[in-house]
Amino acid sequence: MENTNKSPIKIFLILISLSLLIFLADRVGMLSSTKGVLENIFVPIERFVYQKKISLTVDSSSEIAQLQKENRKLVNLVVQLETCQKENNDMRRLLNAPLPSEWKFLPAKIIGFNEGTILLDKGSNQKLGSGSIAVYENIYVGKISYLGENFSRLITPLSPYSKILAVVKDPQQSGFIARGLLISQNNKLYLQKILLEVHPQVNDLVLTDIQGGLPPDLPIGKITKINKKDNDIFQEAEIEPLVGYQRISNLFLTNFD
Amino acid sequence: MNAFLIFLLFLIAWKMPEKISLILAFLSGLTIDLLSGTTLGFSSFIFTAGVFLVLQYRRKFSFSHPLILLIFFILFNFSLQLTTGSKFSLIELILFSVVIQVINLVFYQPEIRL
Repeated sequence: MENTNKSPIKIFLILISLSLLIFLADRVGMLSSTKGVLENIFVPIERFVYQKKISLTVDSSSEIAQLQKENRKLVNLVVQLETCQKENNDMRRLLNAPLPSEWKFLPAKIIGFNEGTILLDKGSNQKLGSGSIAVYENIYVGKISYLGENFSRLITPLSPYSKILAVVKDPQQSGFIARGLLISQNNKLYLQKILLEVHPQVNDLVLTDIQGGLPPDLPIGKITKINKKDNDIFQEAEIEPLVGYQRISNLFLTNFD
Repeated sequence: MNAFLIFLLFLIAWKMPEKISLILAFLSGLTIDLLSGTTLGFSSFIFTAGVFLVLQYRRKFSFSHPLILLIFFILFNFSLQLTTGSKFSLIELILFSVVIQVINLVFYQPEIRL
């Protein structure tokens, strides 16, 4: 009885100190080997659960998934055509996604998704670098933000922490129309800081910009709405991602630095 | 997932022994960090501190209406949103309000102190 009336302050202080100690030890990398062992246990379980979840979602809306896949293929085709410079390269570009041939790709399985962050089953043991990016077909999916030994965390454009410099291109024209900052607000993508003088249109493509530290011309999404007010300095566009980040189960990682 | 876990931990802290509640908060925080790839110890620190506040309230005040839990949950989530930038979902809040109401109707019996 006496024990139950005792303040929990002692155990609280022990646990809080322990948390801080673990936090600091992990920050300086002292726990990486222990984490590696634990990741080996958790990653297969997470992968299994996520794959099951994805397969259930895809089964329930397979027709929509099929249409989305076809849509993505068509968008890819448009981007490929637009990036062609010579007629004799057209056929080759139609058959291959326009990604640099020197890039080496590592397939990765998605094992979790939360608030615009994707967890992957590949880590530093598979020679991934912190600057690695992920693509699905040739669509930009995200950038690695954390590297464990056997798993990693990827920040997609939908993450509230993501800020990407992007360009807007008309699929029918060469060269870009506008430039802006792609951010996420309430699970929606917005391209902000677009100058008022430029005139992006609905259905224009939004692609990565080399000035943002990413490989250029990787499609991210398309414009669905333009928000423009005369007294503002900038205009804003609402963007729909070309790929449903929560619906994919595999993607490719590449070391881009 | 995290919001649900926090809510569950607060519920446990409301009714279970203090020691168990704190240890559970610590361990679930560690597990969440491991699963989400955040730095180990971060969530366990936050969860343990949150549960400790609930326990302190439970000790000091006799007013133990389950709606107090909901207030704790909202305050805790707002502070998390301010410090870590994690999202505070209105749907989760509504869902937990309904759960609290059910708990209130089924289990809550006001303490009568003479």
